[in-house]
Amino acid sequence: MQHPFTSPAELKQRLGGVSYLADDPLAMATFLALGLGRPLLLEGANGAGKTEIAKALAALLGRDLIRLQCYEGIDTSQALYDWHYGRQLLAVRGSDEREAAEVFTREYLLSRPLLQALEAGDRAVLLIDELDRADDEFEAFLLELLSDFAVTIPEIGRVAAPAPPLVVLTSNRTRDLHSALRRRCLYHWVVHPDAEREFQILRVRAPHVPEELARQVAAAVQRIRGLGLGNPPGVGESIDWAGALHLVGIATLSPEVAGATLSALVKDIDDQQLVAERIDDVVPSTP
Amino acid sequence: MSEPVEVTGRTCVEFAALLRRRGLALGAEQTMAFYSALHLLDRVRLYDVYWAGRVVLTNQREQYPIYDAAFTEFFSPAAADDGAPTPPRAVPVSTVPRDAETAGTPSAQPAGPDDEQADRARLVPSEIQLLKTKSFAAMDADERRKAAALIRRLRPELPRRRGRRRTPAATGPFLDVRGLLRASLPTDGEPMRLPRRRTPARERPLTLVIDVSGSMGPYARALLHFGHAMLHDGHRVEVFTCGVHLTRITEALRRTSADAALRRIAGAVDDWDGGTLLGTSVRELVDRFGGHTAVRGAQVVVCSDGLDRDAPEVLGDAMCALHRRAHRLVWLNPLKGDPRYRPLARGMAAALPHVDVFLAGHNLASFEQMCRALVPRRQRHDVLTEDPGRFEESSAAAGDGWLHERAGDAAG
Repeated sequence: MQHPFTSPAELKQRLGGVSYLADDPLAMATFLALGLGRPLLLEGANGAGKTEIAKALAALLGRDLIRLQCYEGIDTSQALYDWHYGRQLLAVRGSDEREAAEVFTREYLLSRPLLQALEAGDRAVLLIDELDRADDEFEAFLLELLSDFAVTIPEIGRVAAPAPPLVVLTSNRTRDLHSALRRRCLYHWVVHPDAEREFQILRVRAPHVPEELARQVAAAVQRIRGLGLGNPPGVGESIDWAGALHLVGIATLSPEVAGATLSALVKDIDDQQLVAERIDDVVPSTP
Repeated sequence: MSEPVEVTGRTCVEFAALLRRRGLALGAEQTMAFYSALHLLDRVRLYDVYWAGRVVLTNQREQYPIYDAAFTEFFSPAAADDGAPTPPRAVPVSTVPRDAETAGTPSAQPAGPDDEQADRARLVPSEIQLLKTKSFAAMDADERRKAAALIRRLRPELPRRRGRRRTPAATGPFLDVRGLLRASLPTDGEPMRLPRRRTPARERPLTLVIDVSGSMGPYARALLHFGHAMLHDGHRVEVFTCGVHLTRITEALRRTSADAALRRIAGAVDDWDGGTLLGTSVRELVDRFGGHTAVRGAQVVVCSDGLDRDAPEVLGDAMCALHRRAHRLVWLNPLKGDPRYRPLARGMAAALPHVDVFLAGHNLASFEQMCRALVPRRQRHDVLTEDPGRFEESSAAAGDGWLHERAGDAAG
C-alpha cells in the first residue's frame, strides 16, 4: 500500500504532530500495518491509548474514521449491511404483473460500518473497537474481511475494497480471540507509557497544566500503577487528574491534595483505599 | 543505536523455523510478511528487526518471552560479529504462562487402557450405592476407574442467562424482517406468515479452580475428571489448577482422554503435590481473569482443603473480589466429609463468608450435590433446603440422585 512515510521514526514524529505520542514498538507496528496492508490487532490494559491511535492515524492520513463499537449480539445487519425492507416491500407490491421487481440490488442495500469502510477503501481508517465484547460468532464474519478486504453478500456477490483500508482492531481480553482471527492480523500489546512519555503526553494533551505539576503527576501516576491496583489508571485518567489538580489551583503536588482529588484518577473504591493508604509513598510531600 | 544489518530471505525462513520449533504456530504467510516487513524498512538495524519481527510473528502476549529468547539466540551471535552487541531492549511486560501445554509438544500417547475399561465397566446398582458414599481417597485403582465413569455421567444442566444475539426461530418476541420479506415475495409482497426471531439463552461458563497440593491428590483428580467430561460435552468450561501459582489447563484437557490429559497435566503443573499458596493463586485468578468470561458471570467452583500458607487476609480479600465478579461461588472442601469437621483453618474461615455454597466434594454423592448446587433454583429437579448447603450439608443421602438413574440405564 502506498503511504507517505519512509520509516517508523518518521511516522512516530508525524503522529506527534497530531498529538499522539507513540513509542517505538507501536510506531513500528503501525508502520508495518500501513506498509503491508494488514489489519493491526491491539491488545493491552484499559486506557493505554488503543482507540486513540486509530483516531490519530485517521487525522494524520486525512482519512475518515469509521468506527464499529462491538457489543454482545452484534450481527451482520448492524455491522456489515442490511436491506431496506420497507422500500423492498413497496417495490414488490408496486411492480406491475409483467416485470417482477428485482429488489435484491445495490439500491436497496444499506451500508453499515464495515461495508462503508470497504467502499471507502484507502480513504478510511476502520476501527473495530473492543472486539472481545462481541460474541465469537461475530468473529467469523470478520475473517473474510480481514484477509481479503472483501465481503460476500449472498444476494449480490462479492464486494471488495478498491484499495485496502487501514484496519485497527482493539481488544481488552475479556474473552480469548480465535487464532484464525489473530493469524490475519499484526499483533501488538500496548503498554502504559513510562513517566517521561506520559509527561510529554500531558504537555501535549493538557497544555494549560504547568510543566512542573505535569512532571509530578506523571511520576506519581507511574508509582500508583506500580501498586498493583485492580484497575490501574490509564492515560486519560492522568490527563483528567492533571486537569483537576490545576483546577483546584495548586502548583505542586502534595499528598493531601492528591488524596482529595483521587476521584479523577482511580475509579474503584478498593483501589482508592489502597492508594490512600500508600499516598505518602507515591506522592512525595513537598518540603 | 546499532549498525545496519543484512537480513536475507534465508535468515527469515530460518528464524521462523526456530520459532516454530519453540512452539509458535507460524505459517509461510507470516514468514513472507516478516521478509516484506524488513524490506519496507530502510537501513534495517537489529532493533528494527526485533520490533518488526515481534509484530509480525507473534500474535499473543504470552508468546513474547519465547520470541525474546529465540531472537537473542538467533541474532545475538551475528550482532556480536558485527561489533554491535546491542540486543534490543524489550519493554518488560509481565507475562504469565497462559496454558500449561505451551512447553511440551503433544506426544502420541496411546489412550490409556483405563478409559475404555471405565466405559465398559459393569456397574450394578448396589455397587454404585457403595461407591457413591466412599471417599475418593479411600478408593483403590479399580474403584477409581468406576468412579470416573460415574462422574462422566453426572452431566448437570448449567444455568443459562439471556443472550443478545437474535436468531430465526419458530416463535419469539421479535419479527424476522429479512425472513418476512423473503416469505412474502411469492405472494407479491403480501406477508402471509410472520417469521419470528428470538434470543436463545446462553449457558453460563463453569470454571473449576482445583488445588493440587499434596493432600488433595485424589479429590483433585476426581474433579479433573468432572471438568474433562463437561468440556467434552461441549460446555463452556475453564479449568485452573492452583498450588504455588495458578495454571490454566483447559487446552491440555481439551486435547485428549481424561487419563492422558491427567498425565500431561501432572507433567506440566510443576506444583502438583507441593505446598499451597491459595490466596496468591485466587488473587492471580482475579487479576488476570477478573474481566474475562472465565470469571465474570461464571459459576466458579473452588476445590481446596483451605490449608493455606498465605496470610488469611490475602485469601479473604481475593475471595471477596472473586465473589463479586462470579455469578455463583461453590467451595468444595474434602475435609468437610468428616462430620466432625469445623472450618477453623484460618484461610478457610476467611474465605467462607464469600462462598455461596460450601460442600465436601469428597465422594460421588457430594459431587451430585455440587451438580444440584450449580443448577439454578427454578431449573432444579428436586429442591434443596432454602439456602442450599450454606455451611451445612442439606442432606447427605442423595438417594434418588441422577447417578443412580443414569448408571442404572447404562448397566442394563
